[in-house]
Amino acid sequence: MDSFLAVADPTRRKIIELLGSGERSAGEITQALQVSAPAASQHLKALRDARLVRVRVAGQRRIYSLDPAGLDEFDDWLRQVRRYWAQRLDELERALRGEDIQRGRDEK
Amino acid sequence: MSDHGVVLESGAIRFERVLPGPIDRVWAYLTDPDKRGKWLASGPMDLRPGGAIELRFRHADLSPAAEPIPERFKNMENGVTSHGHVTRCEPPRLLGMTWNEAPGKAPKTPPR
Repeated sequence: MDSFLAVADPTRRKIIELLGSGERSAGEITQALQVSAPAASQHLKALRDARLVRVRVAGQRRIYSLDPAGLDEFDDWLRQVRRYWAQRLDELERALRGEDIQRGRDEK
Repeated sequence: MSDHGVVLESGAIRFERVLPGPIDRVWAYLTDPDKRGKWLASGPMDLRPGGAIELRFRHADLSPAAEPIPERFKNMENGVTSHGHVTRCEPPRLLGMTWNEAPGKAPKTPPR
């Protein structure tokens, strides 16, 4: 799953928000979300696969935190998509306005 | 409305832009290969639901100002053809389409 689909899910966005304030154990995340342990575990796996969160093992506990590298990559990609379409739509608008200017000249 | 694009729950980004009319002229800039080539990509478009689309990108030619090409689109710098399908066609108000499909692939479910 890519990072875009990973953050499209509201429960997974909640996990990202939760981890934004610091690392949490799997148990704490499950409790905070009020979902079943298997459901939480699946969401955490999706986020890990998308490299948005990372996990470390501390004794019996699995501790999750945000993955800064993966988040930056996602952020960069989103920025690029946004810039690309903003520029393309600017060009479209410019071409349309250009026709108005051309028509104004032709009528003179 | 934001030029920045709104990220939707579905994992899509929505851009809204009010363009100078008349609406038929805007439609022509979406569907006519030469006119579309001035802002996005040229290439034929079979204007009916399920109709095939070819988008021929020539990013290097598009803009008089040399804008940096995003890393993700660098492979398109010297021209690339993308295949897709028309998903919705209600001239001159609504055009739905896919792109970046594998050639010969069946149309996907229309995006809303």
